[in-house]
Amino acid sequence: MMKVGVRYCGGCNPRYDRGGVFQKIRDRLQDVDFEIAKEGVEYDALLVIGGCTSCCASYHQFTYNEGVVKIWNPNALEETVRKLQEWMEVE
Amino acid sequence: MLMTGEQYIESLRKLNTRVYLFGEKIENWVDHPMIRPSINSVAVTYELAHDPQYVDLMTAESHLTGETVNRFDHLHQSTDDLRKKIKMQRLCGQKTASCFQRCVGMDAFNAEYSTTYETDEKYGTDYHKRFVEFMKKVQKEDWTVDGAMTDPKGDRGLAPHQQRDPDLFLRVVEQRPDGIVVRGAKAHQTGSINSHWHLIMPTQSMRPEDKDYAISFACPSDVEGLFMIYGRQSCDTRKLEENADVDLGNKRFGGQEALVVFDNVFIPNEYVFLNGETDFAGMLVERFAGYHRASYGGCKVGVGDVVIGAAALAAEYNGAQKASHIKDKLIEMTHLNETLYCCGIACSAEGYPTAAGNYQIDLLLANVCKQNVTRFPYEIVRLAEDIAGGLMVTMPSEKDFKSGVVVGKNGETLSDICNKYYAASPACTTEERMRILRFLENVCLGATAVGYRTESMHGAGSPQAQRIMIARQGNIEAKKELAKVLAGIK
Repeated sequence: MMKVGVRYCGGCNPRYDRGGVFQKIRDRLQDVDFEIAKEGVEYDALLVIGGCTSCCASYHQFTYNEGVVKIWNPNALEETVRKLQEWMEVE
Repeated sequence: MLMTGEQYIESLRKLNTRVYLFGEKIENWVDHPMIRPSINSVAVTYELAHDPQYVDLMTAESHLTGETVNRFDHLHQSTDDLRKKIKMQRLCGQKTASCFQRCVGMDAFNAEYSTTYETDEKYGTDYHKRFVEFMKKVQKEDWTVDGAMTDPKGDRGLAPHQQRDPDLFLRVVEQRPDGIVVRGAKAHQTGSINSHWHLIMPTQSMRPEDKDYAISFACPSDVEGLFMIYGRQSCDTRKLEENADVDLGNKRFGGQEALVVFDNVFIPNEYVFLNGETDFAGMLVERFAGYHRASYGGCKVGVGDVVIGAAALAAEYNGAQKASHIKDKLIEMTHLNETLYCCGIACSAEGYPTAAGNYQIDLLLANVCKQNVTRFPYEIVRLAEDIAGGLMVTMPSEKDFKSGVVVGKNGETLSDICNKYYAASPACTTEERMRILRFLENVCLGATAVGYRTESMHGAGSPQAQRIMIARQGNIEAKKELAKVLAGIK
């Protein structure tokens, strides 16, 4: 099962419901093991959820193999799911 | 260790802080109904640091220990840190609609860190080393610290040493081999009662004859000889009413200011960070004020977000949300609020490293930020009052809305009458309408107006203080040269 670390931005002025969008991604990808990213844990990928276009969350402190997918707009939900699915296939 | 909100509140109970209110010593000040909302506001800064949705703003890695610390106890290591500080403050303002009080300590830490370094470079003192050791404790214990600057100041036309009463500026009254004894006071101290420690700074630039007043140190809030007298706020005794809820507007959160008195307090050398080096008093003041003027581009914006939301709800509840002038007023409020945020972000993005290595904001832009803060929240609440309507200040009390007293010829109760005549759009219940209007009353002219209005005016320095800094930093001569070149003047 692909393991994905989730990192939120701090949410100072989010333009959409970040938690709600993450729940939708999680519902769509039930074969992915999502958890709030922790330092020292190796992830297959990172999902960075920003509340606005600056998507300023720090994430370089985390370890990941395939890459990072960032979302800062709920309209990018499909694209985000597709990217994670591509990595799932690689897995 | 990152404390939870609950742990923070419990940690306050272990202090023997002396607090006076309404002429009496308050023994259990943690649970006092007039004080507790302000404690709850500080507790939010602890709670959010444990929420994955906010961790990125609320915590940072300490460059002193490598440990994760609350950002309120962090020494900024980059412009990214400075920007995240502003964002964190906006977030906390959104969650409390109040002053959450912990910024003064954070801004004082950063000003002290760089000033002690430069003082040591000139005088060969060891203030910086002492301060670093103090900061390690602050970060480890996750303390809230009151950064205290403003002296009572007495006659504004006189220097500290010229005052009729020499205690009107906090001063050293005795130098001992192992420390100093200080006497005086710090006025309108935000969050002082809710702080574990105090970090004291001089209130203004000092001349050599004011040597005894050029003093900076840290002490526990319950150190022997220190006590606090709680500041009154508009409508504060509503909090003492039995089962008060709706009439408070914001039941859970609030702000706090107090007079902090130092009655011959002994400070050991390890907590003394400036002692007579008058030429560095101004640097410390200017750096703290710079950070704090930037801070207002975050915290007040967060409160502004809630005010705008409340005004929009009031319009909906009144059934007026489709009126073009209402929409335009909400746009104007948003424009003003985001302009303040732009200033907070801009002075942070243009920050620079000090000789000590931590980052300082751009001083000109920070002063422009605060100058706008002395104006825009007033316009935002004016528009909020315009949208809310007069009912915000003429409504009967919550008890009337809930009273079973029969007053009508057909057996109607006070509650029936209030709910009949104060009903509006079907989008809300009468109580919901009452709640949002009381919330706006609280921010516009009640207890929270202390933080959103007058603190916006005078906190971190009154408007004229910013204008002096803008004049110093504005470089008019360079602008004149620009004009001369383009106008063909040699």
